[in-house]
Amino acid sequence: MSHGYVPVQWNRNKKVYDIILWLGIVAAIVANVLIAGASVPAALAPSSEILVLRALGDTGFILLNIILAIGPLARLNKRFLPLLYNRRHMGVSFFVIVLAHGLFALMWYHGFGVVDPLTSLFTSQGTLETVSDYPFQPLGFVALTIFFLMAATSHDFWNAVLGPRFWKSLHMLVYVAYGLVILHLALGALQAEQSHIPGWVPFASLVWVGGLHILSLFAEPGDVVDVGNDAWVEVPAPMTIARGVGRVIEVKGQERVAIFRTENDEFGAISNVCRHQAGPLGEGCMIDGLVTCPWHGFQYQLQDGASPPPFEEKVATYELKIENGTLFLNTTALPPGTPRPLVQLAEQNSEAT
Amino acid sequence: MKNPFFVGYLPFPKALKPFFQWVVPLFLLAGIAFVYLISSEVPAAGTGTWNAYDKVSITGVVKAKPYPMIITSDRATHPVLVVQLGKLDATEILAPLDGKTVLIEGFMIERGPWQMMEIEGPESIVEAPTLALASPLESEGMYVSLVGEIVDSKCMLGVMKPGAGKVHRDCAELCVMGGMPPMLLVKNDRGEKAAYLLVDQDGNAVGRRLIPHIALPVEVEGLAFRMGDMTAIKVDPTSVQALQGPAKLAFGESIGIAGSSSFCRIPG
Repeated sequence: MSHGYVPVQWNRNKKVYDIILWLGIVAAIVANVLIAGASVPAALAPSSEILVLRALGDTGFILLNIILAIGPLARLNKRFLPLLYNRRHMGVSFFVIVLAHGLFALMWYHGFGVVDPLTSLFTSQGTLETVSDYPFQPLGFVALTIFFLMAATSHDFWNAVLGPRFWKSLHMLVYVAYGLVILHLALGALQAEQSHIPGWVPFASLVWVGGLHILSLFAEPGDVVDVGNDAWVEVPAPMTIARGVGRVIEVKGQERVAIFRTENDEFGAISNVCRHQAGPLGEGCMIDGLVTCPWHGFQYQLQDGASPPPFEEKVATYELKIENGTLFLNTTALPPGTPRPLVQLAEQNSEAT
Repeated sequence: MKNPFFVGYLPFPKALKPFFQWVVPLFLLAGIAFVYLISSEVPAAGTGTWNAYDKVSITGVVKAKPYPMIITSDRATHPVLVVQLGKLDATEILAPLDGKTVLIEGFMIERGPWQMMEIEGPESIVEAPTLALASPLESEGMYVSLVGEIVDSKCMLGVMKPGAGKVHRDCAELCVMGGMPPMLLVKNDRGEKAAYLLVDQDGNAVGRRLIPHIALPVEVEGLAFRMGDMTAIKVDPTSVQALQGPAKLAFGESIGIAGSSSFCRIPG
């Protein structure tokens, strides 16, 4: 939030997350080198540099497949949300691994020659005429560049400077980079005369990542309601919203709206889009009377959509009214941070359980 | 609430711990299982060795063409090729010393009958008392047509394992660009491999003219001849044919050797 920036806002959950993450990374790299080295007689084993290079690449590929799965997994089952909370650290760790892979490859395959390494990388032979001749290393370089941009901006400071929407768009490039990685693999290691990577690996990855994303499309927040585009629209069955929890309302052509019910049966509506990383506020809950984002715990006052001081984030608010015991939402967003009264539904109308 | 709500800066919800007590190990196990699947059958990378930490000295007579090599008393018929550190040849260093006896020190690279010495620079060579060692006798040529892969000799003989294939192609190009002797690596249907030094039609270094064909399945035609126990092929770079269609698909499965015995066979 906007109370000053530090490199990492450490807490116990992040430390446990990072310890497990790096234990896994080290285990994957060491296991890769040891298993590969032991799979052939010592005299026939690949060079130790090559073993490390491929172990870094393989580990990076595993991490990328986990990182891309966390979003849809959290959408499919909210119990995965703790993995999403510190996904940023997994992303930066992933970048460190693939950067080492890239530098190793650049030095080993393109270094020590009569041409400087980067020139060699982009001027090496290969044609676009046949798949087997297509140069694959520039694809990896472009993917690495995208990963660098993402890692370098993986901080709330850059999120604030670039703006959440641009920042989000930048980070959505991960899917472009993922495609480049698949091509890098398919046109590179898999094209080698004797590849250590089975041909099914890219397809399995596409099924895993693509499948989870497709499944998650069908797992939109359970209470999405399409209310059309009238100014005032009825909020169906508001008393089925549990106390202290929100409901996401889909408004055609506009940002989604999050309607929350307080412990006192008061209702308020704010934008569903968290100012931090566009997390779905309506899928969060109220803690200490504040709407709390399920992704990273950013909080907003239901009364005016503003974060409690000293934080400065604000989201749009919406008017609600009650007519004949029915709750109506004005779909016209008020400027971020605009106060408006909460409305209270009579207890006798409660259908909540 | 259906699920306990996690907020990163608050204590981890106890109700979520059982879930992560199986999810985290499951992810780790899946990762390790994947690592095992892709690492347990790594292809053999050849028997080449590179003794990069064991500097040795040899005395012999310099033969500068087609590629710099040293003829020694115990390697009179199969001289030791000489290159520099990195991806650089040693032509400029050894050409002025053609026919002279030198004491040369460096790091040995070996695969099968092939030996190569990697030297650090001009300071690695000093002239030595003359030895009466003749260049290996050259046989008459035999026309051959071979299917294989053009590689740089330094990596293929042991500096890079594997030192062939598409992943290694850019490195092989740089090596050959730097003057490294190119070789044709062929493999018969029994998996036996043989390496042939490539020279141009006049018996001189051919290197850079072969760059467009490096690390690709090709068919090479030319006169094969022996220099002592070494086999070289005089090749016209413009006649090297890239394999197409089924022949290309079969590359790596069963590379046929037509019209040639498998001399200069290399293990692995």
